[in-house]
Amino acid sequence: MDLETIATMGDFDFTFLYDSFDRSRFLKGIYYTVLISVSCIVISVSLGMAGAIRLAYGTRIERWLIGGFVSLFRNTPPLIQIYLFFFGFGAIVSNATDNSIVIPAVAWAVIAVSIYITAFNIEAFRAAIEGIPKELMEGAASLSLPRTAVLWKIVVPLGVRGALPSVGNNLVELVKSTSYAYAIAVPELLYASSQIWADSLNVVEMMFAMLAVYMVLIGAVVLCTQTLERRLALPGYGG
Amino acid sequence: MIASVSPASPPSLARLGGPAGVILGVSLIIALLVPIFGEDAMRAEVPILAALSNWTPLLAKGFAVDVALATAAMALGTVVGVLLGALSTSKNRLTRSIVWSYTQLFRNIPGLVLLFAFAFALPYNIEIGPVAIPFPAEAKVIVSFGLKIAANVAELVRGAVAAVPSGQWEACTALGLKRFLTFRLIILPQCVRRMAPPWMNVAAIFFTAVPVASLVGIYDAVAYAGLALRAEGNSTLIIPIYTYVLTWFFGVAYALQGLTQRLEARQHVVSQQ
Repeated sequence: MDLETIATMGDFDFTFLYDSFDRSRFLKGIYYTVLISVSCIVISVSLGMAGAIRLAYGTRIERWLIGGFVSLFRNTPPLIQIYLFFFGFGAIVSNATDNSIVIPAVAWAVIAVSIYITAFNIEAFRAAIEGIPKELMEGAASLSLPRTAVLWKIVVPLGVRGALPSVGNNLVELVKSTSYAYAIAVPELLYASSQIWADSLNVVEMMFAMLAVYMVLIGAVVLCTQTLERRLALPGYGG
Repeated sequence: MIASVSPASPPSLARLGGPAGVILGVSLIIALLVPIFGEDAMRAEVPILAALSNWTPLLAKGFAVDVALATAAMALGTVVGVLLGALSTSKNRLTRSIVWSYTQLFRNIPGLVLLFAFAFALPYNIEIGPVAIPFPAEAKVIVSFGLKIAANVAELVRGAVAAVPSGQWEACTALGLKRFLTFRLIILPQCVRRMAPPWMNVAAIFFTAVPVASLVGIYDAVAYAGLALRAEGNSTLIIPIYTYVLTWFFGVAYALQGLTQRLEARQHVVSQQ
């Protein structure tokens, strides 16, 4: 049996398995979803950690700004956020530069999703930093350890470990949030699938295909964070 | 020297209540000023504030749709979620694994994808024999969000039940209470208080997710904002109008968050006594 026979068994029609045009669209969709996810993971985790450190050690104004940032982006619809970035700021950028700089939609999607998840990651790291035992800080003080040493030898290592479970949850949320890029016509998985089913009328098949891809991606994220958690686990803590 | 080494205790967000409002106000002002002082504003014929007030009734109508959809989805999701959560404490391994699969599937599927599955893969009229039950887009939004909320609520119930000392189950067995009655009369009432804060968290998260309904043709606040922008045909209004709608969502979600934190703080005190 060739691929097409298998792909059209029963009432199903998985066009992207045998039709080269649909396949390239679908693969491109996966590529964009992975691209957005990976970029956003890198950005949101590093900004989240940096933000939480400034929230703990920064000046009053810094703490104030970061607190406002977190509240603002956690409590507003990500759909409106992405519209504001793409339509609002996108227009400003291209107007201000006489259309010489046009930031592509996929970049705005990365920016919007990163910022949305950064707000959640700051919260996760903040909670972990707050959870560091006071005795460690007192010990560091009695050894008159310099601030940078406290930061890099106590706050960051323990903060990262403590925040991993909730950051893992946030990253799952991140992968799911990449589908918001659909709203600004980035050809990611959902958008590519919607184009395929518009042409081939195989909505159900595309839904199953999308579900499978998202489950694999989310499974990969969960596996990575859990492996990291195990690798970084401190002897004598937890299970 | 100690003062310089020990970190300033990181402020919890509960104590950052004021700044958020101020930041939001500032961002709103910036959003309004950017177009006013921008190049395009010279060409703008309608002052931005006038445009905002003109469109307010329509946007408010759309916002009411968002609130109604979110409320209905929360109600559905909570009822189904509590039932699923009860089932997840069952002694039957099969029941537990079915509930587990349900929660894993619906927590991990992107809300937008599930909504599209309902919107495009299911008919708008479900015919059972001679009876045709209409299944409009609004119902699809409520059901698809409700199913996701149910998965989240089921997890909350499971966690809360796990936190109740198992001695209580044993005591109830000793008193001859059936498992279901134990759950309903003894365990669940204790879980309600414990679950209230995370439940409101779920409410806030899904409330901010509801505007995706505009992508399947429902006229909510975001859809009306888009309509207003197209009708005005003035690109300087993009940021003000979307920011305007954004603040409404922020108001509701932020109030929910504040309430959640107050509840949590109160429970913290109670549990320490």
